[in-house]
Amino acid sequence: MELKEILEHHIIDHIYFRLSSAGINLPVSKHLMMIALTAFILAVIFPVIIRSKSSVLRPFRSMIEIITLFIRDEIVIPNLGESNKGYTPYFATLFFFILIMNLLGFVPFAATATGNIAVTLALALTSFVLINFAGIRHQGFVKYFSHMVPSGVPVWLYPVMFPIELIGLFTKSFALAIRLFANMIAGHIVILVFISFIFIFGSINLYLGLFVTAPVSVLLVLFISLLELFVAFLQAYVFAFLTAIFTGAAMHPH
Amino acid sequence: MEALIKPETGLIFWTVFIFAILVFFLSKTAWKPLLDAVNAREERIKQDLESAKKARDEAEAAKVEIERKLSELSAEISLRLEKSSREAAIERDRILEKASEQASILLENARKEIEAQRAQAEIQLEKKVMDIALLVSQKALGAVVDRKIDAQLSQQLAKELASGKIKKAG
Repeated sequence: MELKEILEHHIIDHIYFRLSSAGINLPVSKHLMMIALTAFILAVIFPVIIRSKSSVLRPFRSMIEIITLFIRDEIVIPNLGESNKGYTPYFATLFFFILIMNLLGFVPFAATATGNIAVTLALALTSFVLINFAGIRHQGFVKYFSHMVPSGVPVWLYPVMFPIELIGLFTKSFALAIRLFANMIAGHIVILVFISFIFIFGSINLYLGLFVTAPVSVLLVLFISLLELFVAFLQAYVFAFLTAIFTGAAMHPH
Repeated sequence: MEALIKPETGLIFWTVFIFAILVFFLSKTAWKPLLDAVNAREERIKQDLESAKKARDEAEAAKVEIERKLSELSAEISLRLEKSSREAAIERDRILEKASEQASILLENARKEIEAQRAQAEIQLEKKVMDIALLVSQKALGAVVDRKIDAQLSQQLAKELASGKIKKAG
């Protein structure tokens, strides 16, 4: 097997079959299963944990509560303002949705749905919709677009600045998708490369591969895995935080 | 490897669809009860803090009141002590003055009595001396003066002596 095949096997989605009728073509794939599993965890297990009075589930409830409060107090309120606390459920859902998809990548035989550009693009699309929806809702349609160019810009620059800001609107969201996608896939590629080193060196010399490269590679893989665990939380936070910043900027122009 | 960066349109739809449903569903089932519970707790903590602060303020006000009353009380006590000691001093002075006045009156009376007694004694002494002088002069003049008169005089004298007038006067 070549490294390319191994990488493709581990990183790229496997489409089991396609539901197609009347020109609509919906794939049923491994990453979709992961999204469904995430949705199941969020829609069934989270409400059970939150509503349960059981002392066994209390630590989990506390964890969810701490993170949700962090999202409310550190992400939503500083960026959107105290009066827009109502957006907290959206950001909590966004954060946990991305976080659980990221963390499922650690489960054997599972896959990282956020390592799929389609999934991250879809999430960026929801952020794009949210940013513009919030901006138009809080400023009004005309005001929102007229405030797109920062105040203090000379009038003659407006013809240049307005298209730039308009493009920026799309690139901001697109960057969100690429950032999450690249971060989630990079760790996997690095881990696979370290594992492949064992076989590359093993093909040169069996003992070199077994006794020198293998321990070093395993240690490095362990290190990268721990880093990945951190990145899983970090990227979920970054995605939610940047979405909040852009939404706040769209709501309150300066 | 093109599949890595070629987004699958169907999966975009699935993700948006599932995510949108999750946002609406979880807002009702998960985040609402969680945030409601947190808000209720925060409200309760705020109320507890406020009531504790109120109680402390009240206690401090009561303390200030008590201290004010204490200081008032001690001021009044010292005032009354001063007043009573002043009154006592006045009373003492008055009593002393009165006593000395009475003593001087007594002394004066005694002096007057003594004076009066002495004056009386002087008068009686004078009278006695006069009597004696008269007696002596009678005795001396006895030979010359009529016996009858003499007898009469001596009788009168004896009578007076018997009645004790002279002695008393003496």
